[in-house]
Amino acid sequence: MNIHSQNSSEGRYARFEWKPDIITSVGWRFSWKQNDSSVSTISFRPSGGSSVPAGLWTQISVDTSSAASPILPEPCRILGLYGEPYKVVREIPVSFRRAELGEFIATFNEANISFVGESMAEALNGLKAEILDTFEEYEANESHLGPEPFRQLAVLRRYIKPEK
Amino acid sequence: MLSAKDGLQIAAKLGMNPKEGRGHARVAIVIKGEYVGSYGISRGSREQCHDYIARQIGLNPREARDLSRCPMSAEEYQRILRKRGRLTVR
Repeated sequence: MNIHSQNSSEGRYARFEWKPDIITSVGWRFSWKQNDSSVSTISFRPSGGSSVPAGLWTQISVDTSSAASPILPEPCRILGLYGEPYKVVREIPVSFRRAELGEFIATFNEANISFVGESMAEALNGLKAEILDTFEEYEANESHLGPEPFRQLAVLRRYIKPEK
Repeated sequence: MLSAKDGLQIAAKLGMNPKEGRGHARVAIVIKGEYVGSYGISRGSREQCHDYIARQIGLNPREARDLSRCPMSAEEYQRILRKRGRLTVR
């Protein structure tokens, strides 16, 4: 995914939310007002022909100090799990890294859960799915969890809760 | 690098059957009834790095490669997990 940034109202970092209603056929585009009321934009374009996922609503921070160069928005925070019977009670921090074949690995470090994707969006969507699958599997088998899954479940419970 | 194939080979070696998760395959490692870790496997059309599997099952990348590609047995894996406090059943 190539990201080209312009000046930010906050200096080095600009903050955005990924909203489904501003996804276009070619990617995402965000606009924001600067202190002088001028408007800057930033565009995201999925790589490798991957499609633009719907339903993302994720806050990201972007380093805008290197304008017009590809950068990773890190960290990103999952604010919601739309379409799933869970609510995020504490924003889930996600970091990204570029793997050796160019793919992206998204990680929820505290819970020791990662997932890989051709694009950042794909990795993030996979991570969300993996978080929920892990939560459900460990909740259903709580009395059989070893030390690490037990710790992971405790972490996940601090971040997500089933909707009643 | 660990690949999706390594993830499946590790599952097979430990006698685990991958399950369907939300859009991808998942493997839960259960030893003698105790869950010790789990991981997801991407269905990407080309090879992708799955190095994170190692950390999620209590190994370093080299150990995970050894587990996938034969030198490490399932019994040796259990010994490592016990030594690291990640497996409590005997």
